[in-house]
Amino acid sequence: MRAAYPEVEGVVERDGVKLSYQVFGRGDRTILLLPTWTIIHSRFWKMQVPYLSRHYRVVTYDGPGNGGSDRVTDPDRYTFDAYAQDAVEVLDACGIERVVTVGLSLGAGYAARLARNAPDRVTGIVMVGPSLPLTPSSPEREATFQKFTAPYPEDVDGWGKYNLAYWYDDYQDFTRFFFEQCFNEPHSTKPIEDAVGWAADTGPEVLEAEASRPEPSEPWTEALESLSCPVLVIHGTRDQISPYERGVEAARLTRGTLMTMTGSGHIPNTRDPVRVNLAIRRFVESVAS
Amino acid sequence: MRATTPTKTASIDRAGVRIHYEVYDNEGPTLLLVPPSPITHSRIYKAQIPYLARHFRVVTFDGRGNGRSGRPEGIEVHTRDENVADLMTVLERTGTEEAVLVAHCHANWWALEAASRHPDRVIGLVAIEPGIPYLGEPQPHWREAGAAWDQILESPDGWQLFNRHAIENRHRDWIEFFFEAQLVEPHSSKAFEDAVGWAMESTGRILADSEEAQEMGAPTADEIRAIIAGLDIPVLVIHGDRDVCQHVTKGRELAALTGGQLVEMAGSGHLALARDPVPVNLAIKDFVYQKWRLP
Repeated sequence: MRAAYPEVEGVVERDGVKLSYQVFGRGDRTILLLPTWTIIHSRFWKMQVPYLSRHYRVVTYDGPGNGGSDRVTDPDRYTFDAYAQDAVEVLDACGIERVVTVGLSLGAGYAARLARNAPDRVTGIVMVGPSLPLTPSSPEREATFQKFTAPYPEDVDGWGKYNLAYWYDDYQDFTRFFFEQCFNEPHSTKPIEDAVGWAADTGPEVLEAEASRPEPSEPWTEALESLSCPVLVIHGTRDQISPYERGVEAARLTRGTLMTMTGSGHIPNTRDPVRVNLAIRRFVESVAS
Repeated sequence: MRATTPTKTASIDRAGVRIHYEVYDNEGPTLLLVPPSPITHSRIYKAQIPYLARHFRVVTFDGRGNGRSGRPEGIEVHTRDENVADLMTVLERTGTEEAVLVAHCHANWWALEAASRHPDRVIGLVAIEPGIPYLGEPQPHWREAGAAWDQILESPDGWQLFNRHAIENRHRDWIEFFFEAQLVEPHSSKAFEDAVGWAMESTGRILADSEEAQEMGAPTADEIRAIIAGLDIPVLVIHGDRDVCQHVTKGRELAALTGGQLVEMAGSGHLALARDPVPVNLAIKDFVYQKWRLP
């Protein structure tokens, strides 16, 4: 049983890749809830959809690699611009002209590329825990990124599990570790269980392809500075995936508003949904339609 | 920060014991939320208060031995009579002429006695996981532990911790075992932390005293059934079907004997009010609306 069921479910095909989408609610205005790292699929918006769809039309879709969408292993299908093109395709299939987009983590990057490539389709952006390289990672994280493709040590621990060979050897253990870092608030057993379950719907082949994608040609700072629509950044002060300073920087570059979630981790839309939902709604109301 | 704050908060001194109460003003009827034992206090109802207080006048209090009430020691100060007198005094001092009692576990025994002695004041009963003796199927884990209540056991474990010496000397062990056993629902870490925290605001001595006092001068099975049969008030019973503190058949029998309404919560344990508050709250609200609000 879900709190809200889609009005429309459909599949759109772009260059041979099928993407599964859902439309909830019937409002005049539309919110597009974007995919994030494809380790999870569109159900990660489960705490947003029932509330927001009481006020707006809400579109969600699974990015390539998870949920109801094809498990592509071509890195070119995972570029930020490819994600942006997928979003355009979904909106066209739904006959929707303009949206406010909401992107979590990497999804903030998809939102930015969508607004850069199709500025007339986006009236506003909400970035939740934006995970873009705007400020340096912690030295510990940086060191593990360097060893991503190296053999992992026998006593691999912590961020050492962020390693391609380890993903193939014990994918579920990596996903559990990762989501324990995402949900560092107390009493997060249910969100962790949900996320590990969604992660089990895909696997290391897909994540390897996504990790191998080329970066966008336009530097992130320039892309964010060039955005012309209003931006709201929501960022947790205890985010262990993408440091809070990145949210501060994203808000500064976009001349956006920063909403600081004191004590929150990387995914406040799940662990503190009421405040996030109210903030999204206030933002949508403040943005000209 | 709480979801709602009381309009009045005060304490009564009743025969030398402080009893702390809170009032959330609203249109009647009044719901008096009765905590079940010094193992917890009024915060056990934290998921009910904000919702119910939007619809009705709600009065809560901390039972003797925990919360902001006094910490009297001794079996004789924790009897059913003392607890019934406390709740009646709270009604009196809050200017509550009549109230629907909302009771959890053992508090239902007190509520039953209050309703039977004061039919003019107690106009209804919401019995959540009612702990009324003799009703329902026997519960061997309680009986076996109770049989060794006074013995000094070598290294008691599990239900054996339900023992005067173990509760006094290994209070936290008993509390943690007990609430872990009650919280059968997955993802109960917050409810567990809350429940253990509230329990540890009291002492093992007080809890052991209250457990012993509860059984003092207990009526016989026939007397209990006669008291229940004599009730002439609307009754709603809410009971989790995986409750290991009070077997669900207790709730079923109470509903059958009173002709009351039974809401059985599939998959819930003893703390459905904490783990599944929405259906519990809706059932209480609907019941009170039907009986006292609709023309």
